[in-house]
Amino acid sequence: MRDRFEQALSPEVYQAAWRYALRLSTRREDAEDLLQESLAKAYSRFSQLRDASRFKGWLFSIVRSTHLDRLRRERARPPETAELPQLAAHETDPLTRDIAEALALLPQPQHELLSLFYIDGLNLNETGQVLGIRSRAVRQRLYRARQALRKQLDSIPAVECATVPGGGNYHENL
Amino acid sequence: MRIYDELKERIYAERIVDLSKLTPDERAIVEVNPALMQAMRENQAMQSMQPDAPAPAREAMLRAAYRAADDVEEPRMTLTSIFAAKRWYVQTAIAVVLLAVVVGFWLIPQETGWAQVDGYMLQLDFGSIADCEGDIMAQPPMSELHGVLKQFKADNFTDGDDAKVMLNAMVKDGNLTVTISLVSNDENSEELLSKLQEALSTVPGLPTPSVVPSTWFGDKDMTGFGCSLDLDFNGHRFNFPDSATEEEIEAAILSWLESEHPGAEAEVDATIEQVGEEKKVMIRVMVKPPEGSEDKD
Repeated sequence: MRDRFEQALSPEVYQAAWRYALRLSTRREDAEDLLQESLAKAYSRFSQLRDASRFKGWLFSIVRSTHLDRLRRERARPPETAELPQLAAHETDPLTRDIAEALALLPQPQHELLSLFYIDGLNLNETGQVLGIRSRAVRQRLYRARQALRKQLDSIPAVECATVPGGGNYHENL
Repeated sequence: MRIYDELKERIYAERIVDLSKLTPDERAIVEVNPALMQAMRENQAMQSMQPDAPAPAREAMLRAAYRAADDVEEPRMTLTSIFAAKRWYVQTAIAVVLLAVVVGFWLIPQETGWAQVDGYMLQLDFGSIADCEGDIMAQPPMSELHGVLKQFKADNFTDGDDAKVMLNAMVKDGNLTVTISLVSNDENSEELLSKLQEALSTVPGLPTPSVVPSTWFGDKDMTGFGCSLDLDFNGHRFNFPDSATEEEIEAAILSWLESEHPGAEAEVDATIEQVGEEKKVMIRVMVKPPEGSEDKD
């Protein structure tokens, strides 16, 4: 089974999974642990994968669920070190920097969708596989997420009447 | 416009970064359209955002992963393992239990885990308040409105009553909109609404409110619910807490549709977008009535 597993885990898929683990993690060591744990799970479940062409999306979904499990386990624990922004090396380009900022402001599902598709380079089917939605829905949501990203990039703070408490909004449960 | 949108969708979905991937006709459209050119630049920029730290050696990583996989054998419960090496009467008993479980799951209605309450939202559009000075909530007619609502609550609600009145004022682009939410599952909610409208009519200078039947969703205790995310569906307004996810909204609306239109086939697709400080929710609802063949969108 190891041969078939290593054949499916081509160097390109391995690199892609590493970059994904790195993007999800705050430190390189965490990314290595995440990838190792994910590969161990993938190997032990490999016999359940019926269609080898779906390996990449399947592996990414394991990396994602392993990452979420780790987050849940570590939620109670204070962070040991400050976050190391993985995209720092690319942020010299103003557009890339703006996009990184705008992505961070998007709702998490849109952020994740755009990151998987554009940054991690998954195709529509693989992205859908990771997120548990159909590829047609991925295409539709991509469009909306890109529109949302564009609005973020264009966003100019709305001019609010400062006389209303709360920066333009007032809410009271009477 | 349709060609433009389709082209934009193609640029997005196919991650096109240069004109060479387009037909001559498409290229002609893109070249004169800064937004489409920008969409391609954004594709390129996002593709360059992959983290570039070198990967650990693949062989060593695989060896470690194999060891970890051997150390921690994941529990697997397959039908084969459940039935393996058991006598025929034990296997029959297991099969009956499994069948009961499957039928049980099928029969138990799926719940969203959310509670919902009904009521009305009254919206008052004040128009431009560009010249306002000081705290607008302390000035007429807002100050008087506030007092009338307090009195309305005191007159009509008792302590421990689930009913609520919420006042929400929002200024956007210099225009003031006030929303009053009357939340009540009480059978007398229509009567309460009439009383509220009557009370509002006593405040001089208030615009006539538009009234929309509404449903609020929240956790089981209905704590923290409000009008953070509100959206219209065929004249009915849904209100979700700010923390609601797309999945929760979809499940809640589906649940509401099932109770309001039993037997109808429904599909709900929710998308939440954060635009600046605003959160926008887009919902696509497809309802196919049980007896008719027309789709309602």
